[in-house]
Amino acid sequence: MNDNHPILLGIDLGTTYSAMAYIDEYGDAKIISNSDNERITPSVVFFESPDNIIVGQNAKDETELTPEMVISFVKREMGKHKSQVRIEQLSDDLYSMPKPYTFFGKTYAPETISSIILKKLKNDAEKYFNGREINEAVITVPAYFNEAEKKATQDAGVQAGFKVLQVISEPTAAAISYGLETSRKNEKVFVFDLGGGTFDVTILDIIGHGDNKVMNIIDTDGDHHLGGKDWDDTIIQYACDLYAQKYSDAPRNDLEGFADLVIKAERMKKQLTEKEHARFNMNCNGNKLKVELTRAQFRDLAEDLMLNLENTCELVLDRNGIKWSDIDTILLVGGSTRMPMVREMLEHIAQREISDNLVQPDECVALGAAMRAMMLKLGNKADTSLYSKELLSKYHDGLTVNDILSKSIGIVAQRVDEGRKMAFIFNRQLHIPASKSQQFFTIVEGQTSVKLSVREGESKNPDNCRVLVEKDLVFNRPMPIQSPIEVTFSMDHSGLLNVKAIDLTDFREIEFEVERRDNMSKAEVQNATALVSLLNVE
Amino acid sequence: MAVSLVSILKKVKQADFFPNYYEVLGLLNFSTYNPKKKLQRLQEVKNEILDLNAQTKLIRLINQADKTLRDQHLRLKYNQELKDYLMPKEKAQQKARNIPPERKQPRQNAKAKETNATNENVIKNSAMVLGIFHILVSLIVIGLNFQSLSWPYSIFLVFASFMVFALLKAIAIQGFSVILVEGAEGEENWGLLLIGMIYYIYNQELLICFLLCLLITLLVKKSFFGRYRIMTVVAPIICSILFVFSVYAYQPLREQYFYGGFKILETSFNVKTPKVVKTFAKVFTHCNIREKAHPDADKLTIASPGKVYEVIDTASRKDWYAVLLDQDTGFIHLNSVKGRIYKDTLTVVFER
Repeated sequence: MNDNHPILLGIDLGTTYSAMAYIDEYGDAKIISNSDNERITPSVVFFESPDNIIVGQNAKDETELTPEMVISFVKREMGKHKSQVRIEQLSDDLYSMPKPYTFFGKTYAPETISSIILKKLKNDAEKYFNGREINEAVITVPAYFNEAEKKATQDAGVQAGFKVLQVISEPTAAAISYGLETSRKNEKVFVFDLGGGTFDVTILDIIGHGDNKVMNIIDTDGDHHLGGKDWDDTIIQYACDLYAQKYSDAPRNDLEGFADLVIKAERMKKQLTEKEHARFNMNCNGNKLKVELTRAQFRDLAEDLMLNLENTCELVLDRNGIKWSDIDTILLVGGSTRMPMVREMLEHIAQREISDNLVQPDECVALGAAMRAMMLKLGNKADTSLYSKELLSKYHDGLTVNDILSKSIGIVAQRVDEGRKMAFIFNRQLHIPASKSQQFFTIVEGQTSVKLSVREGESKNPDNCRVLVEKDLVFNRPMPIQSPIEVTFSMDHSGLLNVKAIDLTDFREIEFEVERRDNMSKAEVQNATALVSLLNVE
Repeated sequence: MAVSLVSILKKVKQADFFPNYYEVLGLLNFSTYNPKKKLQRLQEVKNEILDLNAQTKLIRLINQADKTLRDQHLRLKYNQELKDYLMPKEKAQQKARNIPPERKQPRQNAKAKETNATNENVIKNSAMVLGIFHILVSLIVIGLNFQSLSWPYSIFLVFASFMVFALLKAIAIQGFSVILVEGAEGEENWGLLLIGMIYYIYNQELLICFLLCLLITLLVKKSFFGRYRIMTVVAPIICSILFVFSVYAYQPLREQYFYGGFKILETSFNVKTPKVVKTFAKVFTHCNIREKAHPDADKLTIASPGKVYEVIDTASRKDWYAVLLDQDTGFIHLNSVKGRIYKDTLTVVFER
């Protein structure tokens, strides 16, 4: 490897597994193996001691022995405040208390836990390249992640010591990988991305061919609480029901036995992909139970989950007036698309056979992210003499990506006739980056401040939208009634929001710091960065 | 108006919750399955429900509803279960209407009792009253003519007797409306009855009555058509036939009302009955139905595929209606969907 060739990481930060890739000097995207020589790394963190943290397969293996010190599925907690994580639903309307990530007296935010996984990937990549320092990365997130979740992911990257070039959506990354490597014609692509913990569908157009392709994202939808883990959970529930029938006891009481069950359930799911029948022995509270399942039984158990997948696909097509016959290519992304029931369902609703070799489901997201990183680097007035001809021709003008916003964003406004309503400034499906302004007026004579509540969602009722930012805008003087205030939203390539407000009576910007309600503040990110840099991550 | 997701969520939490899949999909009870409703409702859930647990519950319910109503066999079975579930509720409501609550003022209680008793009597006897009046009026006309009264006086008497007939018929018809309207909205019975009667006299049946009595008078007047005295026998027979038709036309209305399971069913007539009876029934139920392509057909809450009908309610009831063809029974139902669609006129859109 040429020492001058910049190494830019493309990181697929998954719920259950993570992967990383880079672009070599000839322009080929390649997966970077971790220190265990595996192409994917379990996104599992084990707090061995206050300073020593283990990430990956070794951490996963610890689940059986010390489950209380192991963290899995942290991606599902991204965007939440550190005091509000791991709230479990105990029954219909009963929830457990939050279980903050507190280890050895310290409480970590979800983004800090993610940053530890990213640090492990960074360390492994640097080892792979014989100690070369790697600082730049593109990190992927589910397309349906909200703004707070994207911001949390970016903060995780920063805490791990990366300069995050962009936070990119996973289906977009997969489509870039497909668009640059395989696509040879104008086509409408349906990306079906079912990962370990999240599910996304994205419809996009790839227009043009050769070195000048444009990728227009049309629409995206998904559920970031639906993924392979939920299929594991159906097996776990099935086993628990069998166990309860036989022993009149709840296996969840035995922490270690239950952790063992979780691992075996995941293994059984994978086995049922390969064969028609699978079984395992369950050991809980000193009791043993043989759990057997056929592929057909598994399909029945997961019927609700399959319906949710089907609904999301139909919903996004229906919303855009697109029929299955208009779709040229269906891309299967994410390890969970290997389950036969998923492909069967898709083939049934799309009424066609689906090819499974268009992209590598576990790796294409990381590969696409690495490609995106290279595109950004080359588009940023980089010194082109450092790069080979092949690489330049592929990434310099190769593909333009027009991404969209997956959820509308607006502010809460008091309307004269309708009361409190959402005033959307950014509407869903808006192409990003973007900037838009809207005027609002004060409603009381002598008003000295106004509450700015930025929310995300599709409902006109503010209570049904998620709060991103709540801030008091303080004026420099009492304002007359009906004074115009201009609020400007701007969004970068990563889908991260910036808000500005201008007092139009004197055209002065109203100074305020945008602080997201559930995300870490700037100071907290700085402190966490210092903390993570001191941790020994293996 | 489709039942809101929030109120469905509230119902889910009730101990005696029975899922009304029609409500869940935003359909009227027992209406035709519409595959588009599922996606519309799912989108609504995604847009309007923030709580993940509530979202999951609703999505599960929508999936169940769609699965059940899509399958003809499951749907028939479910319809019966829903009817069984709704019937006691309806009866309880009916009972609550008939027994005035203690907190009501005595004057109001007396008034309500009086009204309810009148309405019940009217319903029970309406068909009989109508038939008897047909016959009585015919006999009066015939008798008067035998007395060789003067021409203008004879016509006046005949006309006046038919006016009485029309008024009584109006009371009978409005009796049904009053009970149904009161059942749903609790409006003033006597006020509605009066408005209904006045309106009824001025509607098209007045003309029919007038023409009919004129015809009979001409036919039985000796000096004018002396050789057609045979009509003195034919006239009562015609009236008797009218009586039979009136009973036939009212019958389904009474059955539907007393069935009790249908809160919203106003009336229905069987599509398999002869055309002449259907026409008669239309007159008696005050609905002129004509086929019309409605511009907002796809926005209707009851969006079943098929023809759109415009219906003008000539009895000036304050209900709105929609017609649906129930494929299971072959009945066209006139469903009341209060305050739902077109506010400015009495024009209501029907779908078949």
